[in-house]
Amino acid sequence: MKFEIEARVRRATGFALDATIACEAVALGLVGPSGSGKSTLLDVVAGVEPGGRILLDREDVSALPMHRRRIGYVVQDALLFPHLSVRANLLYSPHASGLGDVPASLDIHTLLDRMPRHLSGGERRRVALARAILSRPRLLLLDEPFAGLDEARRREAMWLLARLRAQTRLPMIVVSHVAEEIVGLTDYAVRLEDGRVAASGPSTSVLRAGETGMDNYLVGTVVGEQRVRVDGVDLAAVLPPGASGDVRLACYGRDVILAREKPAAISARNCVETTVRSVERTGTLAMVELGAPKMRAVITSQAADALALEAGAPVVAIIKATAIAYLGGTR
Amino acid sequence: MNSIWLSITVGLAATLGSLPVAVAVAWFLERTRSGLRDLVQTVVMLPLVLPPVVTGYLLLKLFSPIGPVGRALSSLGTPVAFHWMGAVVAAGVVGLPLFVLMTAQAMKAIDPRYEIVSGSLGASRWRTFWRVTLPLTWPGILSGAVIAFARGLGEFGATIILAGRIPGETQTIPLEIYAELDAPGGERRILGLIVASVAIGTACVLASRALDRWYRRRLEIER
Amino acid sequence: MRSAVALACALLAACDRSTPAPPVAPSTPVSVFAAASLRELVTEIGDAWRKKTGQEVRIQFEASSTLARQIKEGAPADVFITAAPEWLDPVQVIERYDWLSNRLVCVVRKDVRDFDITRVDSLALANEQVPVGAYAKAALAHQGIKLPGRTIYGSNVRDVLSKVSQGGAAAGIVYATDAAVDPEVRVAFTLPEESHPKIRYAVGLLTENGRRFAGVLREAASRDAARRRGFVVIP
Repeated sequence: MKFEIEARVRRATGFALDATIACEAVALGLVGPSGSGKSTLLDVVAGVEPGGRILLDREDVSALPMHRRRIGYVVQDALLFPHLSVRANLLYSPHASGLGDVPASLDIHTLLDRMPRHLSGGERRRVALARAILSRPRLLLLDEPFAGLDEARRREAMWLLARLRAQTRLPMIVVSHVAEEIVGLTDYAVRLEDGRVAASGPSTSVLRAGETGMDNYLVGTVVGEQRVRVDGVDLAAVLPPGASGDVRLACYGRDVILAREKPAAISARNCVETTVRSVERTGTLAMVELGAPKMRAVITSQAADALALEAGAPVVAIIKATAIAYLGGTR
Repeated sequence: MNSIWLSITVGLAATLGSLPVAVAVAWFLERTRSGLRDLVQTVVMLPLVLPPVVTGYLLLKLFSPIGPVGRALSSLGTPVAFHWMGAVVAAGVVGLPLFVLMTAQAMKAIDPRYEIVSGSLGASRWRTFWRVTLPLTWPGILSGAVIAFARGLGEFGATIILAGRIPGETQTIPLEIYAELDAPGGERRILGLIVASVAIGTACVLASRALDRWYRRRLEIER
Repeated sequence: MRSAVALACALLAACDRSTPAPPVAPSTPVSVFAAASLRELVTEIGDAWRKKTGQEVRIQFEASSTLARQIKEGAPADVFITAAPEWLDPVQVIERYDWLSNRLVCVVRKDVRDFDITRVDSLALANEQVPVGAYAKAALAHQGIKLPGRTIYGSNVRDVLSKVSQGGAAAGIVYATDAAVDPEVRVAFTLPEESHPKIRYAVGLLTENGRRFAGVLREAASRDAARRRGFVVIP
């Protein structure tokens, strides 16, 4: 879906949202700290809050009242109608035409005759999601779909949403204050800070940048479309539009693959012929420091032995462009 | 005994008549962001703070049978002043503020986001009102109706001014009690009416509380 | 400023000389309970009394039956003037005398042309225990006039009058003196005297404090005032 969103909201508390988003994506991610305006932006898109110009696939929905926008809104608290059964909740929308296999695909088909107050939190969320899907929207808004879920349920939920996206190709905007959660789910991401867009671009570049604890931090210069020169070596990386000059990049050591020879017909954009500077074994893992670019590869000791890696040995470092995170400019 | 039956029918008619008004006003106050809300609330609350005879007087000026409105209504077959309808209007008007207050309170207790979710699922405001707001608030509305009924039933000042004391037509319990106070031997006759008044009033309060409890249970949701 | 005060004092002194100096005013006001139909007359007499003696007169006008009940329940009254002598019976009087009489009439709104009491759809009457209500009931029964479908009851004769005046009832039975007070109504017909018990206003003295005022009611000036307003003066 093509998103062209201009949201402007002024609150009595002094909070102001002023965000412009233009992109094309199946799933758009919206991240940022609490209070940065993510939920407000969703409200504007849904039509709860006036104050914006929203074009979805070139169609202006801003003039439409909320109930005609065909935008499903799944809020954090599920908000199932307490006086209706699950089945009645699911079929609430005037656009709903039968349940189909949606309940089964969300594993709620056994709950159809229960009342919302007898469901667990996770069950309620799934019912709320199914209810929104059954209203046949053109766009789905998910506000913090993973909030309050423990590890296991979060993975489950992510898997559900990923499968939903794959099967239905239903455009969605996913809001989360935890960027890592939705990196894999979304194509494009917007980071909000204090009501303004702080960064936007392909998810891996915008969202991975929030992650901490990477082993390799590099500085390079943009030399072309999606190309950066680091330590004299040209690397392909996913950069946000308009990135130029000196930039900071990062990646995980475990995302670096080593080989004895340059592979042919491989998807990885970076296959750099370099040399091993040092190898340090720590039990099952081996830290391999490389020459240029100056970075570390983390592989198993077994692999290091198999490749007979030692200081001075030639090696090919294979790094996916999507594994390299863009952290920003050097200023 | 006629006045007991009359009081109940007048009270029921007044409550039923003011029900849509109370619900509409409460919805307007609680669910819109109109700038007129303050004005509407002030006007609706007036009968609660004005002396009832003043309310009756203002209503009489409005519906006076020799005025334009009164004459038009008479020709349409529904005269108000000094008729049964006047007793109904007086009871309805004095009960309305409480009715609106309690209905608005019931609506306030419903998370407005239910209505947002309903809208996002494609339901118009009208559909949302009937399928979400009303089902969730109607026990609260009923509770307000019971109190409005009791209040209207007991109205004296506005009723005697707008409708006058017409036995069989507008002579409700309070009007008959007042008239009998001065009559020789009247106090004995009104004992039954007094007992009936207290009984009806008590029943209404108990009913209202029971409805409140039921209403709270209906909205229960584990968070 | 001081010259203005001086001027004011001079003016007041001048005014003071033009009216006869009042005798020492009794400090207690006299409390009068009077039948509703006496409103204008007794107010006029009370105003004259205050001017003459300086004594405050506090008058309450209501149906005689209502006033009698209030007195019985302890309302403070010095003089009680009823529209029917029997309403003095329930209260403790020191002295009493009959004072005035009146005529009973049927009134309609002034713009009503042809009026037929037998075909009227609504009639305003005072409550039965109110003197004029009792007189009216007796008169209608005597004349063989059946009560119409809708009878609207007023708590006193002025209440009845306003019902007719404001269109609440097509007609009402009040005293002739009341009809004269309201320009919106006219007399349709007068009930014959023999159709009802004699209308008698009776004055009851309840406390010594009211003696002087009760006395002035019998004086010529008061009777003249009554006659002017249409009351029948009993010799």
